[in-house]
Amino acid sequence: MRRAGLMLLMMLWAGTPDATARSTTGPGAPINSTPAATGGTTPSTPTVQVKLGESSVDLTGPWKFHTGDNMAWAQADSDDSTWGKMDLAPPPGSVDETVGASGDLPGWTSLGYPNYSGYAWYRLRINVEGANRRLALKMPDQADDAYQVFVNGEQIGSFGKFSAHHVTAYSTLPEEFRLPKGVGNGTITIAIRMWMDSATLFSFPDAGGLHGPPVLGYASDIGTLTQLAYDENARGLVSGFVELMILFMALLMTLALFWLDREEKAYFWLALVCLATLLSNAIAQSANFTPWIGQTQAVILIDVLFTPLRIGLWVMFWGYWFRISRMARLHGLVWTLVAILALGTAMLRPPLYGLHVPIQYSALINPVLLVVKLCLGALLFFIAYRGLARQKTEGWMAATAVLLVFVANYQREMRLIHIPIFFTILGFATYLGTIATVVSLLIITVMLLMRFFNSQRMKEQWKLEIQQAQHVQQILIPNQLPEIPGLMIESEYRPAREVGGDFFQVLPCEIPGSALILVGDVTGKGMQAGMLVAVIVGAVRAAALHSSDPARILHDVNVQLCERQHASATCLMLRIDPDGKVTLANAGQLPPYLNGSELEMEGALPLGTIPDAENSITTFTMQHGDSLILMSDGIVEAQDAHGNLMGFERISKLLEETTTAQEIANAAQAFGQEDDILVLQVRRNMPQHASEDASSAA
Amino acid sequence: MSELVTRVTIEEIPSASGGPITVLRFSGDITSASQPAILGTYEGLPDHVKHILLDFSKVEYLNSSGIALVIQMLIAASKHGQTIRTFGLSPHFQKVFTMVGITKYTSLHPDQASACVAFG
Repeated sequence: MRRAGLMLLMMLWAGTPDATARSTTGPGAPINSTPAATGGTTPSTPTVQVKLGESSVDLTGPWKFHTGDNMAWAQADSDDSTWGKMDLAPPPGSVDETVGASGDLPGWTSLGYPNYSGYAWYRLRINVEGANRRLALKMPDQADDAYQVFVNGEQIGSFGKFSAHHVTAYSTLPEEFRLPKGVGNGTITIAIRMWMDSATLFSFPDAGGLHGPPVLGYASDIGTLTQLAYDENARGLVSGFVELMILFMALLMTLALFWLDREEKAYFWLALVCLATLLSNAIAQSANFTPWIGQTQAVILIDVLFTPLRIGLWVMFWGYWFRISRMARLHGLVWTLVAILALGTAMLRPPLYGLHVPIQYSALINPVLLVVKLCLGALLFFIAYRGLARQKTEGWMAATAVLLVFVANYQREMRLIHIPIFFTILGFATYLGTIATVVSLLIITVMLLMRFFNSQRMKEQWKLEIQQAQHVQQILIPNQLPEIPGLMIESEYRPAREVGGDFFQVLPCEIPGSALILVGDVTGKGMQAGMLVAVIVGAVRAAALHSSDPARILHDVNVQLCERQHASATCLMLRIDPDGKVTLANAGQLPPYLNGSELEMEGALPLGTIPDAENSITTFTMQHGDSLILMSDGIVEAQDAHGNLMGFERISKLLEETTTAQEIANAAQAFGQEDDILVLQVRRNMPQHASEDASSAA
Repeated sequence: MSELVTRVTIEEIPSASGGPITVLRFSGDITSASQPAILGTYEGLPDHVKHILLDFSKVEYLNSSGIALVIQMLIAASKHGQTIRTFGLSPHFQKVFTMVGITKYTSLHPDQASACVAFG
């Protein structure tokens, strides 16, 4: 198969080897050029003899041609008198529009054998004179798809692997075969056994067998021609190698960025784009230089797998780049379209096409594939539109990159509307797709680096702010509780994040044995919540300087929070007097537990909701040895892996058996911490004489 | 545990007296991220809406920040003279709603039928 079938490489042959090295003199005949001693030259002028070396001959035929297969046709004496004729001389000015090569001969489908695929034979009988060295045959650089060459019944070479039931074809490479020793002057019968896959009919409208004449000459000359053909091949593919190198570097860079910042998924998806493109291009390049991978396998990998996959990956990359909100839905849509595109393409490629999928189905499948592919393109532009509308920065860069990505991935469709996709720059074949890929990757690289450095700067700022907020909170959440005569107070505080929203304070009052205790929970978590805690604690401490009435203090704080707006917190404040009398004001906190039993209280709005909110107030007396437990909603709303809440019932049971703040916090954390956990236990000590009596009794 | 998006659907059903009741059916998680779903939906209701029924029966998770948003909506409705009734809360969250004083602005009902009857 021709190279263009793999990667749409427009081989710029322009007749270079044929035009420069070949002549149409007889086989093996030296070209003797003697400058004419024209009439204007005097006899005394010496005549210089110039011998212009030896050349080769195009075996244009006409050849004998027969469809079908019979190995007896390789023999020199096989009767081909009834065969058709096939002239292998390219018509003057002929151009292969598919691959852009001039001097190209249309295949047998355009020369009287339409829609034929499978085996066919070419035969030519020549008479060689004057050969004095080993001869060789150079095969045409474009051929569909595989062939074996026989000289006088002896096979001298093949391109492609022929087995009893299967032929493996490769992308066409320059091939030369030496004629057997002793075969020189005299009659030589050359037979070429061709095989063309049915799918090639779809890839090239003029497919079929040889697309130029074989060339016969001395082995050394033919070797030079073959080397020239390889050089030309390399000149046409150099931009592809440059693209490979850039893709490899882009892959390394995106993987490094993803390793440094795992949260930015766009890096990962761009790495996948680079990897898919790299593998696809590597297969194409390899197929154009080596017969390492069969044509069918290469076509399946490139056309069926990597091309749809690459488009899908590009769409997903831009989805992550623009932080599109419904990524799960985008995944579903994109991979469904990619699967349809891959499946449909597979139906039009070997080994399915022609063998299992009737050729006429292509008229139905092709438009569907075009629509599906364009849907992916439309999705790409839609994502870019949504993203650019929301994300103004880097707008023109992102828009340019998206446009170039489209150009790189829709080459075939652009050809349909006659947009040129092939150029020659400084003598090197260059493709619009390669330029678009390279430039888009350069732009995206700049954007990636900008985003990476910006993200790192933001993270550093955020880290600093978190540290500052933690520092503030460490000051506000007492590590060491004040000693209150007659009371034993324990606390357990476990924030759900670096900076939590729960808080507490223990403030000794002027009268010894009396204290104000505050427990609260601001809405939200993180630094903003930590700052609000600081405000509330400050307000409570300031209010406590003038009043020891919990209801009065909460009222003052409520007024301040309402003035701030968007700052609300549930709070419970109590004052314990030396005689054990407790005055408790509540603003939306869960009720405390006295000796394991929940205190009955009315509900009340959290602070900061409305200025004239009334707190729920209750009074009771703690006897010696009584235990009062205050806790945040992070305890009752701890959740297990199934989403079950810890709930009030479990708390009640827990309190029947558990007596310390630490055990309660441990139980909630083990159940499944979702929110900040705060437990404060206040125990009223036994009087001194009672404890001494108890010790004596013991 | 990953957070679910708050979804809200709006329905209109007739009350026993014939007046329309606007039902806001919440589902998913109600957290600090639910502001557009709760306050946004409420603010988008037409001015003539007088009876609002809140359905929490499909809510998976509700935290203190989510409750704060519900409170804001209830206070706003109270200022507009709208009547709000609520159903579909688990016993746990009925207790939590009671403790945060929500019951001053809405009555809690076990199901839709009893809530509709309460509208009269």
